[in-house]
Amino acid sequence: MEPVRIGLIGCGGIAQSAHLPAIARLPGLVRLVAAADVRLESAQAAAAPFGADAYSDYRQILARPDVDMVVLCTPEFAHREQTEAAAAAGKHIMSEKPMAKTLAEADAMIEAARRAGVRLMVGHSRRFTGRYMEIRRAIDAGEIGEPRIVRENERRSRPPLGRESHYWTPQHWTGDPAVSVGAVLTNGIHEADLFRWFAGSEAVRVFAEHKTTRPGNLVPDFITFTVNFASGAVASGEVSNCLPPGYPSYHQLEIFGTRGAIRAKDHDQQSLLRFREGATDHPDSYRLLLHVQDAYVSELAQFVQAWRDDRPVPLPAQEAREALRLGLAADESARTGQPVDLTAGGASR
Amino acid sequence: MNRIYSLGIIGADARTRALADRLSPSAPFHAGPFAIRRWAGSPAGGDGDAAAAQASVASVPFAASWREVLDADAVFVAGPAAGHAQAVVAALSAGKPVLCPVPLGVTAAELAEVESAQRGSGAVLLSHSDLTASTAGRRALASVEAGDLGKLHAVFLASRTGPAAGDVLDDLGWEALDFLAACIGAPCTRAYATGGSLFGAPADAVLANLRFAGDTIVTLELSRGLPPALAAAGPEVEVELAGTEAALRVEPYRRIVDVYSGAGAERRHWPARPVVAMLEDLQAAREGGPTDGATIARQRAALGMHQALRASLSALGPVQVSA
Repeated sequence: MEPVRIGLIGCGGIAQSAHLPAIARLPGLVRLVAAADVRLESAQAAAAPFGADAYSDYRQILARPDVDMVVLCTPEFAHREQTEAAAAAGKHIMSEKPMAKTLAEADAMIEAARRAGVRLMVGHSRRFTGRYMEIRRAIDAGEIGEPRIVRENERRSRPPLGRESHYWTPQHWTGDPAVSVGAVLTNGIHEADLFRWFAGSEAVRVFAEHKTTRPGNLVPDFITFTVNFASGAVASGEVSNCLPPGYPSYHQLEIFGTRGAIRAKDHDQQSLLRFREGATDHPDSYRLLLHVQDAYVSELAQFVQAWRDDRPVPLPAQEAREALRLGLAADESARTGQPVDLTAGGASR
Repeated sequence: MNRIYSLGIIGADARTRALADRLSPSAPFHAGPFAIRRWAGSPAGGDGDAAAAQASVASVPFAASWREVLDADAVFVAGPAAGHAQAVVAALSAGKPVLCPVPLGVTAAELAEVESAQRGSGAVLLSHSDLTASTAGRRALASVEAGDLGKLHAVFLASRTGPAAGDVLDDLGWEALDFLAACIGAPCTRAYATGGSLFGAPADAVLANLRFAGDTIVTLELSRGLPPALAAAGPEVEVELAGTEAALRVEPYRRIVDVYSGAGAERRHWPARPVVAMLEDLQAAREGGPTDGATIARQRAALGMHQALRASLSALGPVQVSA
């Protein structure tokens, strides 16, 4: 069977660090035939190793009949337009998270894919991460009983001085309040999705506090939120991008159930540590346990295989929509100082 | 040769069990110049049998009335929090130095009585928790006080045990809130809590978010959900302080302090010996050490948070914290 022909839309950081390497690791399954970015040189840099074509307008990719699917590595504010256009062109779509800026946009994306008969999946990469898949398997097997507390802290260092065009800074789109609400969707959407996945239940109430920690930043780069689920479980998550330079990117997941507990804390998995001036990393635990690279390979392979086998995609778009709903509710709570009742239509934007 | 100070113990709990171990005549590591003179149950009741049993193990006379222990050189008040203030006020009024793990009182009126008694007597009053007395906890507070962390952006604090009876906000909350009051040093302005019976016992979990003047934000978890394999190692407390200059992570139960700063990372292992540290502080205070001023103010702050979290649990919404 011929490899699926991919058009990559958006060739920035996540494309370079995750999606392009994933495509390269699946040569028999997929092939990059085109890449587009508003910065043509980025598209050219992405396309060249694959012998693919480069464009500055994504619609040039959609016009090509030899493109079977697109991978959207663009900001969430672009997802609706690009998804609707791709669906209308008959292309299957795998999109980066978060799904969209609003629920209305997310609903429009789902409807566009349904109407066109193409597959749409939002790549919440953590669901394809080895250690989280193992945790979900353990929960499904009843190994810890019923989940009662789900806790995840995701901590990252703030940009070093002098790196002004960095996440959450005004010079970066994630720091532009016109198009971004800050940490709650940029990385907190992972926690929103994991909470729902591990709790195995729908969120009914959320309360959040957020803040902007870096002088000059215009969007919150820190948020902590507490979520009540219909099952009675409670989730608590802190997403922090304000740790000092030198702090590793650390994740701490703990799930306490009625019969046991599961922990996946990066602090505990440091079989190899490197201390350098201004930086600490733990390549072993990062590569072998959090396994980000494999997650992107897995999500792409599963998406393509599901479509070829005429099965539903492994992560329905509706799941990403519900994670977005929870993230937006957390943002609303943090802005208003009040809990948001999700059973009463909260976060219906 | 140092003089041996006699210690009267009022109340019984896990901490007094550790104290007895340390001060027993056969203890391998005897904790300073103290010896237990007499032991009694708390004025709040409910721990008389435990106190008698611990006294017996420690070969110490058990007193039928807690007031009988006030003839010691110093008094250690433990047991149910509801009995702390009464015992502390009586001991201070008798002119005795007092060591009382948090809380000193569970209402504003009780704290006022304690403050008044201390001022009237001038006796030493120290209040600690295992967290603030542990070497790791002290390291954290000292780093904050020295400004090593810069401005505190965020604090994460989790305190957990295995399944047990008792309201988790009362049993685990005082220590956590006292520590927050100590390290943040600004008033809490808003508190939100949820939880309840998550693991089968009443009030066995609280998850909370607190905001402080100065914009420090706290994520707090108090729970009794540790499974047997983890609970067997004892209670867990984990603290992470995120500042502008450095981050500091403390796990007293694992005897670890991690510091992350622009200079890299540092991990240190510290001994956990909070009861010994408390006695050392008492000895230092008797010799002209710290006063209780900060303690009372801190406990008022902790009480305000405690009451706000309790109110939030009922209100299903955030509560503004009164000064």
